Amino acid sequence: MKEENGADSDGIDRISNLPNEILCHILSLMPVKYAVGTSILSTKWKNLFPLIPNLRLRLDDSLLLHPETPPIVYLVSFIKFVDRLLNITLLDAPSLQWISSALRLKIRRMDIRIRRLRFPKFIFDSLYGCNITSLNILFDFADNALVCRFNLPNLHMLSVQCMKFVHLNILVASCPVLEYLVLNSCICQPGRVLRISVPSLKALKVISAVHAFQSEFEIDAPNLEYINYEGFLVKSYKVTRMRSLRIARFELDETFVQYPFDAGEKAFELARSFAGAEKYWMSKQFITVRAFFFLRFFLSLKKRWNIVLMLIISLFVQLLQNCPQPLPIFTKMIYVSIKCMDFNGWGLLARLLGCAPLLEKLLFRSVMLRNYCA
Amino acid sequence: MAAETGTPTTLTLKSNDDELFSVAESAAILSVTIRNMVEDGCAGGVIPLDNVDGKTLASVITYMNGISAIPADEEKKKSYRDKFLSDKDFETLADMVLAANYLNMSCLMDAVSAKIAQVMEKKSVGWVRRKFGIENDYTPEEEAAVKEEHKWTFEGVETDDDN
Repeated sequence: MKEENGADSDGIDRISNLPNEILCHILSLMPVKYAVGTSILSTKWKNLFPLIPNLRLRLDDSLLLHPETPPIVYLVSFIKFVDRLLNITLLDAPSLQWISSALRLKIRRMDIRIRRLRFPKFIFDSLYGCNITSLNILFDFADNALVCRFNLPNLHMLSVQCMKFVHLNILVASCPVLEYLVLNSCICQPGRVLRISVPSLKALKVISAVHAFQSEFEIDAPNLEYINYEGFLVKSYKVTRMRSLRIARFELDETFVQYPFDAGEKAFELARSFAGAEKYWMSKQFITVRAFFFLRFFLSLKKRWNIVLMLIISLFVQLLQNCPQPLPIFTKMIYVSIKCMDFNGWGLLARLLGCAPLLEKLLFRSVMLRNYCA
Repeated sequence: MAAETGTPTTLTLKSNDDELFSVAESAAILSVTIRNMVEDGCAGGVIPLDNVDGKTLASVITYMNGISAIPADEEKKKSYRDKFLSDKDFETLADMVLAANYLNMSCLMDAVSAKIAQVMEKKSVGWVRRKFGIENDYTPEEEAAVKEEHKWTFEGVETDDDN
């Protein structure tokens, strides 16, 4: 093809005369930025890009090629374009009603991230009764937020960040078939209770925020299989019994905080609420708060100890050095792995091994042999 | 069919300006339109292709023969396509994309469309208009409005010195 400026068209507009479907096919092979840019060619082209099937917007280099130019002008223009695109391709949607527009396209999964949302009611009114199965929302309700109506009859997966307990309780209660729930840094006022009562719930992840000490958690999820608790401890836990809990994972935030209660006892209470799981994973911080309690807790479990649990025994050993009480008998312990610790309690190890009649395997990993005096 | 008789079957294609072309069936069935005709048993005599002229059909057949001679190697096929299209002017490309659409040959359709897209993208508005003979039917006010609305799309695009 000749690359000169010379008109090789003989004045006949060959390209505009191609059928729309072919032109759209050609446009769909360009970065969307240039495809939309063809609007300027003539009135025919102006109305073409909304017709492109499966238009994909990629926020890549083609959006802004020259970082040295002030991007704000282009960004504003781009945002307007997306609004218009949604409105045109999603037919008769009035402006800003893009959620309803998306729902009309039978979207199954939606992520909404808005900081400082003033009118959450609009969003939830748009979502009311819709069929989406997965919803991921991040926003602060303003303090004076209106009481929202929620109804998400088919929602299976809900992930929420920065939402107040009071709204959260209503929201969760309006999801009858919810299976996966992630609560991230939810905001509670002192004395508030987080209530999760969902019979269908299978997996729950709670990341509690630092200012949640004075709140209470009530969890009624009899079919829960997986619990992941992270962050900070709260004042009280009321958990109803679960029939098929498989994995319980507890991790405390490493930030030093002054709990207004006995953190060790609270951690123990939390772990005991989820007793009966097949597998436990607990972070160092979680256990350190009350090591001996946990030792007894693990001994009380029916199931055989698994390897993950064994890895933390080294930590116990460290903590138990100063423990005057006699060690219990580890009737279920078959595997001990001691790793990454400054280990100088050989006498204690002897005591430990003496209490583990069924031990089959002992593994040392990068143990520092300082004060070797065995 | 070729597989049944053991000898390559040849089809005769007729362009809309009555030129006749012989082409191996195995190559011609790259076109879904032709393949359907063969499968429906209407390929016994001459296959008339009313929407394709002789010059374009000759090109398309060259492509059919070339690409079907290459074993299943996407890299080689792609470089063949690139080479095949490299010396085509826009007139020919426009005719070919129409023919490819009519003949339902997705690989040629995509290649030609991509080629046209590649020619157009990043080019200044004036260049594209001159190149393709597109008549600007906007009023100056309308054009300014469109330009303002889609400002982000012109960033990084060649500019016209004359407008």
